[in-house]
Amino acid sequence: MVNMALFTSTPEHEINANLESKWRTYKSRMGALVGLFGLGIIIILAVVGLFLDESNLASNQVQLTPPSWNEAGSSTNLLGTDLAGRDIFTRLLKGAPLTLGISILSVSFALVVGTLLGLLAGFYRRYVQLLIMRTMDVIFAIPSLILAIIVVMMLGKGLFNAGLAVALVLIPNFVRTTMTHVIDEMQKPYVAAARLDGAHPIRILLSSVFPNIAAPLTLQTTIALSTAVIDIALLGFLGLGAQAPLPEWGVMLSEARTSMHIAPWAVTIPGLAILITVICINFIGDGLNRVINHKLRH
Amino acid sequence: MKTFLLRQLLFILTSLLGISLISYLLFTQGVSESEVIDLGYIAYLSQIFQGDMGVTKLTAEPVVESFLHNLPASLELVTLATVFALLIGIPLGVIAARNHRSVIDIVINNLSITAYSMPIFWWAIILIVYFSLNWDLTPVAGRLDFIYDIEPVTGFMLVDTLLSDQPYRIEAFWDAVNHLILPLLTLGTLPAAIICRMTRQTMLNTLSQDYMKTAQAKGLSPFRIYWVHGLRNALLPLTNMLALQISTLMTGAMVTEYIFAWPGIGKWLIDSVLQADMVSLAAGLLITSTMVILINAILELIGLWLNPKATHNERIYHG
Amino acid sequence: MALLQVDNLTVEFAIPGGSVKALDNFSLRVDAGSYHGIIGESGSGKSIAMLAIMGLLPTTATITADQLALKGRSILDMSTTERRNTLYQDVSIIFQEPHNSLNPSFKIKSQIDETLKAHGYNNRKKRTQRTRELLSDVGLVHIDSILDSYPHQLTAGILQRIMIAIALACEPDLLIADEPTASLDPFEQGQITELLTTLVRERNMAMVLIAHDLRLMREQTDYVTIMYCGQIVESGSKNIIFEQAKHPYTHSILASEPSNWNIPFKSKVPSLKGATPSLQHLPVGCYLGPRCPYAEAHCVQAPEPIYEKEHMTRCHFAGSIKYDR
Repeated sequence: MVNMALFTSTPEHEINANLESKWRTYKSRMGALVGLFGLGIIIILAVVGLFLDESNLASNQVQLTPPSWNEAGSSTNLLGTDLAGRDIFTRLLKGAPLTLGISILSVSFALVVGTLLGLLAGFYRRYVQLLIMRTMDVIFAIPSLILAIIVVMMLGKGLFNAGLAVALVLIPNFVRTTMTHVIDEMQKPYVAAARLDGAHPIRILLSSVFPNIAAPLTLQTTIALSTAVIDIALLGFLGLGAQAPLPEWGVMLSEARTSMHIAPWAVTIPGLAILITVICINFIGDGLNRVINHKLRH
Repeated sequence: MKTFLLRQLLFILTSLLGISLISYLLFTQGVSESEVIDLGYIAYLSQIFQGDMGVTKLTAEPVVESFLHNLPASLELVTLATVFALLIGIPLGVIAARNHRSVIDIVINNLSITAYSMPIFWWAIILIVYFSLNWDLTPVAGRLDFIYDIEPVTGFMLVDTLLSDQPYRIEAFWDAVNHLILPLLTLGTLPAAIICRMTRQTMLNTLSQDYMKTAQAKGLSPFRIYWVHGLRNALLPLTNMLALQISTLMTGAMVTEYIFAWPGIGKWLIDSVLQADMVSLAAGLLITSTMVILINAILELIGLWLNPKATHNERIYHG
Repeated sequence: MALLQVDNLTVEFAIPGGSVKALDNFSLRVDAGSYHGIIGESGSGKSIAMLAIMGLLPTTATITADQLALKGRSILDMSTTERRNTLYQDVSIIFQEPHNSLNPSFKIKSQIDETLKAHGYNNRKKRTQRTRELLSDVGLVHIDSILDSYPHQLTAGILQRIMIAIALACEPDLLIADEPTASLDPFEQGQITELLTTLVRERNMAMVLIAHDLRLMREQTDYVTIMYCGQIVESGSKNIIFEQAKHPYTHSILASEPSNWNIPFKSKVPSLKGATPSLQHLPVGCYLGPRCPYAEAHCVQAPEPIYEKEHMTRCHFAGSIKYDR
């Protein structure tokens, strides 16, 4: 008999083929890699910002100097100074953990609460589902900014409350995604079989339903994160979230607005920071999306 | 069809109920601040149905009046922005799908991701800084230069300028257009990007269908294949696309109007918030949410109507 | 001159990490009026070959061939317009899923109408007349209500007849049918198969039929081609294939049919073990190697096709394996 191994052209270590192929698909999109890389750098900068000292924030510097590459600028202030003479680069770094940090907290909260509610709604059907879905529909019908505003008005202004408000806005999306997928999974024959076998509902949930909703939930999380960053910065901009003199990026934008005709950089740069952060998150999401859909198509 | 309508109605009613409750909470808070007579929830509701939603904090004028006064400006902006988004988004999506995986596709894809990652409030400011301040091409704020005195007939500036009998009406028209450009770009960019991506996706799905191959094998012209067969099916989810954009458009309109000092309900709402005018906020919440719900329902109905699978349900059996 | 001449047609798709050869050196010669059958599993490349010939593959596919000619004219480098004026007028194709082959948003009438317009019927009355002609040719009766319906309102059998009607609208010289009855219930299957055969014979059209129906192949076709993993493993005239087939894969196919007729080697053929490999992980050498009971060491070298009179086999042992009968 012939050694069949002679015929195989692929290496034997294809056991982890699944994860590997997913990574390969993800890698194949340049944007997704750039996004991951970029976000990594931003997070590192945010951590740096947490521990950065306050020296450059003193208002003893020349006001409104342009960035260092401009002829009127200097190298002591890499990105120039703002209206109050504070170094913009330092403020960006110190603001990163505020804008990005609160966004991550907000999304995490929404993820946990939303997934839980979604699981309940998907599992218990009937009245529980009705109640949860109707509440979500109400929240959904209110434009996100108005909802956030109402929460902030009721709880009081501030960065943390802005985070809560944004979390509330994000919860319905998680609930809906989770619930749809749970219902989908529950209808599959293997779940019915497990139930008939007498398996405990929580066990079914953990072993079979969870792995299948991991992918869409991850995607939903990236979308939620990008929304959160923009919304929290927006609330800061409007003076409803983070308050001056916090270096939150939205607040920086709002402060710089008064002098935007003579110091455009003070307005451009914090916004660019927000833009780049969100682009990175969205590119990651786009890459994830392709991985998920690639699986479906083949 | 009937059960669907009934369920829709129920859904609308329950949502409105929930929202009116929140609105009521806000209202009572605002009312207690100004020490006006306290109202029960039912009384509040009946007052609303009579068209009375309280008075504004600052000017003590009826909220409903104040709101309606500012509505046309928003309608003009939002409608034009939607049209803009559709006119840009759909063709770009089709082109991207037709040239799948080519450079064009990648460029459009990345551009659209960048576009919907933009914070609207920053995008507005950037546009102002460069187009208005640096290059002096467009005005910084407002709907019309104050030197033009136009009689508000419809509330839509583009229409009113043309209807006016002032000698400078054509000038005023173009001035109105000039004032519209930046707000339009600001508000329309995000929806355009999203519509582009959605069109690209549905178009890609459509293009892989067998009936597209049939169309080509029939010998039809490329125009007919893509723009008649392809687009027709790709746009079926269009009403859904638009429905998802409603909330985004409203939020975007609020921010855009605020930054451009555009006298619409978005700015009105934000001003109410900054003045802590709870009564106006309560009214604003109720009206905007109702609009969102109603427009969603209408769009869903239109979507069903356009889909032959929903309207022509009868199977035809032949021996 | 052959009606359709295909020499060494190869189709590759780019995937993350490399490329996949969906079709490897496919060759076919169709003469006017001849009837060809193609047999193979899904993924064997049979549909890809037809789509490539018709120019219906997506732009992500790389198509190469030594020759791809219709009536002597090369269609490989034709522009879309040229294809519209030649290929799509002389060759028609029908697909497996009738529900998916017609646009769900348009009524049947408009879909037939536009076909006729594209084939030169400029007069509306002529179009109406021809529409009725075509639909009754394919055996449809309640023509008015059919014309006024949307595809999802009609049964698969009726839809497939409509597809055949559309395919015949241009009076093609060649009709390609890619598993036309696979999605139909058995009753309709027989009817559609009979319809196709009758129409093709009547009009002296050439036909390429992709199907699994061996009995039909035996009764109707002139030539049969068997495909595996994107390659042709055996092809030849019908009689030779059904009585003197040499490739082990062909044997396994022939042996798997219920015996209504004498297959000499039905009971004595060792069956293939294992499963068909995916195109992304093809074996080295002969693709059937890992599963073939006759495989030997030098099967890791890709077998070259062996040509005899009206018979091609892609196997090292084409001449030498003796099968017990």
